[in-house]
Amino acid sequence: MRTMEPDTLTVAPPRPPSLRFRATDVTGTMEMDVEDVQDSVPAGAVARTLAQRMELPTNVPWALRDDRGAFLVDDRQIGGQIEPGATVTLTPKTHLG
Amino acid sequence: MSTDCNLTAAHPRGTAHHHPLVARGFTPDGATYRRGDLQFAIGGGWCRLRETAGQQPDFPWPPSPAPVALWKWVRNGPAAERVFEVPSWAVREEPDDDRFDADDRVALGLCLDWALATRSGRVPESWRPPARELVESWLPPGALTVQTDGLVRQGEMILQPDCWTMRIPLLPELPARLPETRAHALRELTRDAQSLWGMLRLALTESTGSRALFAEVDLSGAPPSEVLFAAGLDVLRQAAVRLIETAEALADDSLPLASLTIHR
Repeated sequence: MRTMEPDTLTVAPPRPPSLRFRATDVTGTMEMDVEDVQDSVPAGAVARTLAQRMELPTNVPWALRDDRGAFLVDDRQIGGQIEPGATVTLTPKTHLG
Repeated sequence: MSTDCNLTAAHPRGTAHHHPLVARGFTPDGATYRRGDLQFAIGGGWCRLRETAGQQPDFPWPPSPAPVALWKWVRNGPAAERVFEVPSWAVREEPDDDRFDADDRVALGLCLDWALATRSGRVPESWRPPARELVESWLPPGALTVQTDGLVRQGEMILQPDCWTMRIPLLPELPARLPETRAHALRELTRDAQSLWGMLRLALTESTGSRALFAEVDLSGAPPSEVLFAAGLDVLRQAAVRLIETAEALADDSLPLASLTIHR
């Protein structure tokens, strides 16, 4: 690996891989392609981030559902729970009963 | 200076830090200590070693040798210089005290040894990183995940035989080509950030054609102190939260930024 400006980290492993997927809100009225999320980010943090991007209320706990309806585990990396190109649904946890 | 935990630089010989400094070849010089072209001072909540020789108009590009540990270039007035900084509250200074306790603050003498040993850009071969289990027990859940303003970044801790670094990507993928105004602004952002935040260093790495900009705190060569680790983690998170959005905006050429046109 070649290191560059301004100060270098010669032992650094390659850059964090990012994951591409599609996200929709629970009503299906908002859709966005996500290309800049590292696959190592926990799914819960991704859900909160997507809620902000969709300008949804931030005082509501959000979760992600994959395209088979399964809820992603908040504290596990999103890259380990969905495949590239998947569609996830942003769902308020308050609807879980 | 009032936050410096019993540290005062006003009368060096009367202070506890006099002994570990003198034992390592430093001599009092007014309110500071000197050893060759190294100057030690305490102020603003930091214990700071600075190289008084080798100052340059701005950061060298790229630096050679590459800095390790907490050594880094900072802007100081009209010039740039290399410094090594640790928060003074994380430092314990008792006369002739070099004992080590991972749960306690780090003895000043051990901090000095760490700085002097890594000044050349190498980590001593005798150094070993702390056990991963130990360090991970110091890491609160989610501490390396930073989320702000619709952006999220996942940091990591690197533990290798000669490396102990925490880093958070500010830009996981820096565009290959940026207009010069944006590239300049991004360089200024990284230089200012590195100068303003103690312990923090910015690193731009390239791998397989992609580049990423990281904020990092490099504890390579350090005694495995939880206090020091917590201080570095706090700096890293604080800096990342404040830098991510600006870095993202500067790297997004599709986002108009009127402020960049002013200086054209």
